[in-house]
Amino acid sequence: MLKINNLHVRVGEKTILNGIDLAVKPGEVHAIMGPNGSGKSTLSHVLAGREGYEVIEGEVLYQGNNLLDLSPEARAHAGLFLGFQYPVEIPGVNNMYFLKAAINARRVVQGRNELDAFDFIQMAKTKAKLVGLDESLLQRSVNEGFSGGEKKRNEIFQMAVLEPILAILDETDSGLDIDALRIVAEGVNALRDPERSVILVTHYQRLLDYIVPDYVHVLSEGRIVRSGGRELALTLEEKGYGWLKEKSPHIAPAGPGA
Amino acid sequence: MNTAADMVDRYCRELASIAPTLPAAEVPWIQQIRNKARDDFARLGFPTRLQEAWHYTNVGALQRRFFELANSGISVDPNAIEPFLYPDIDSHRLVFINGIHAPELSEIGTLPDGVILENLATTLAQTPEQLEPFIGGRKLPLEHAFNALNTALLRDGTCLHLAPNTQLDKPLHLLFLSAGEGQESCSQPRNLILAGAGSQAVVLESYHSLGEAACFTNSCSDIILEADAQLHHYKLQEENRHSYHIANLQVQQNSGSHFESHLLSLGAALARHELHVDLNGEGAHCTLNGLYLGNGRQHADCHTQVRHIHPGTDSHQAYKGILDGRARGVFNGRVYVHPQAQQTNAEQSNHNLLLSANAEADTKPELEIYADDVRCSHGATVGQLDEDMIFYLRSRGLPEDAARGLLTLGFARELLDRMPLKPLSVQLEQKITDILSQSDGMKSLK
Ligand SMILES: Nc1ncnc2c1ncn2[C@@H]1O[C@H](COP(=O)(O)OP(=O)(O)OP(=O)(O)O)[C@@H](O)[C@H]1O
Ligand SMILES: [Mg+2]
Repeated sequence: MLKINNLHVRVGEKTILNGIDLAVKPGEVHAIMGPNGSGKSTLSHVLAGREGYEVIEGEVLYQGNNLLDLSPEARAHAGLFLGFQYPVEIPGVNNMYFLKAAINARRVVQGRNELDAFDFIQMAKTKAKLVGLDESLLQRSVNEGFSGGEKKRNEIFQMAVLEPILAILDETDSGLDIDALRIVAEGVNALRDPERSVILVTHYQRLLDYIVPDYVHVLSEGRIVRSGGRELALTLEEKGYGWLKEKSPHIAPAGPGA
Repeated sequence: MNTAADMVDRYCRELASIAPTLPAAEVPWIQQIRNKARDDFARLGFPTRLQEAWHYTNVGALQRRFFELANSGISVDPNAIEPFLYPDIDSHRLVFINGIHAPELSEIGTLPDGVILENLATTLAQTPEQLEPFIGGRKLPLEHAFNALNTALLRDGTCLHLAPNTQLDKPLHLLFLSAGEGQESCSQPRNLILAGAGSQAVVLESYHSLGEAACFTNSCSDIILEADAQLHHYKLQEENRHSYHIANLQVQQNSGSHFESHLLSLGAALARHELHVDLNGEGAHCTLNGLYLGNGRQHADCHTQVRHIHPGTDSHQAYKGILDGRARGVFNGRVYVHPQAQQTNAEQSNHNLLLSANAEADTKPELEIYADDVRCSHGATVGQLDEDMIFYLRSRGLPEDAARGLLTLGFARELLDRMPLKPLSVQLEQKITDILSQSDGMKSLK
């Protein structure tokens, strides 16, 4: 599904990713943890195609193709979805209108007919209920004036509507109350199937109680310094990131699958 | 060789020669007002960029070509006005061709008691004394070449008079069409609205061209709102890209009155919208919203002046520009607070979106505050579309041009959403969408 080989990324003069290797197979859930500033969001953005990052070495294959050659929209059409750590507010652009345009842009590329307004609204309402998003938010401008938690739910709602093949969720759990966390987790779990994969960026092992990952990776200073099963998250929670440094500063990642 | 003075002279000679044929030519005080205004215009000439108020806007082109003042013989097929009507809005309609009333195209329904609505030529001919509140002592700032030129003609336009506590039952659509037919015509309507105490009305002025001939519109509207009167004023300017549009709206507001203005400027080579509001009584408040779009070499200039004369008055101004190609947008907003006008609340904002590297926006707030218990705020920005927003939309699958289109429309929509007359804002949004979809980089906007 996704294969990242020796990825080095620079922003301006600063190198942020220092050789990331990661392989995600269909159906797998990978959690990425790591201290603030270690490069988790940078990796997410590079995968989604944001401009301003310079790939100085390495490659990313998605479904066997070179992901980095694709425009952000082409990546979305190919089934990639990024749930943003900080969803941007877009005044004047209606949430439903935007999402309908997005879904239909993909359908056109795929040679399918466009969803009409009625079918879309029915579907969107069902999904909104599923992720516990207040229906009134659907008719507002994208994220404008949404509370922190509402923004995150809106990300999950969009994910549910777009039904991605690879979802990258960058700290979708931060800022959520406990009920919301459970609902978000249900949203992700509902999407899980043998053909879809999820990369969860999180600081809290709590989320992993709800969405049980196949692998947990620790990103530090732009590289994956440790990989393991979900027990790694528990150990991290208990001992903190300092423990990793003490134990094995530059341990080679225990590559999960390939 | 034409010099500016020659052109002014030509207008003045033309005005003098048609003077005897104008309505109320036999009424001495009216004719005197025309003559004096003609003298004012002769003395002032067209403004130049040396004048502070015209620093950003060059009307030199008007000094080089003459626009026919008396181009009145044009007949227009009723079907030709269809595109400019709003089927979803039940309205009274007055139509003007080159500034002259076209009764066969107009349609005024039964009016409520206490409402007088007629074209200005009729008022001039039959009850010129009705004009006293507007032009008695000559009013308007006449030290203004275009006001003087308009007053020197004073031929036709609109006269709306609302008795106290009456309500105009439907919006009034004033449709101004410029049409050339071989001549470059000048349209100089004068619209007078007197809203008695507690009365209410909704008025839409729309300006369009029939055909591609260059036209010069020099429109003046005078509005008087007595205590607690309420007027919603909409204006759409979509004349062809060869035309010149100068407009001056003067508003006098008494206590408790509310004036709400929504401007959408889309057309013309050069458009200048002046809006002067005097808040003369406690609780008078005005809301001025404007949106101007420019592409190619279009020039759009919004010039507002709000004078807080009396304590306890409010003004809210929000203007936005969307500029593409080599277009230029100007916003000049003057807020004056009289020394006695305590508890004034004045807000002003002007935000500009530049869609191309060669587009330009000039924004100039002028705050003159002579009272101390005053809340004034102003903010101005000139910028491009936000890259984070573009990325967000693209990451969901929208192509880049669609993302840019949606965001640009979103920028405009903020002002459209403020229009209480929803069927109008829906149609105006469609016009904006059509214009933007012709822009490079937004083709897929539909
Ligand atoms: N555009 C940029 N210019 C300069 N530095 C940047 C830029 N973007 C990110 N960085 C830096 O790169 C590093 C990694 O940032 P990133 O946002 O990827 O961290 P993160 O792991 O997501 O952190 P957090 O857990 O706080 O979200 C940080 O030091 C950040 O300041
Ligand atoms: Mg981050």
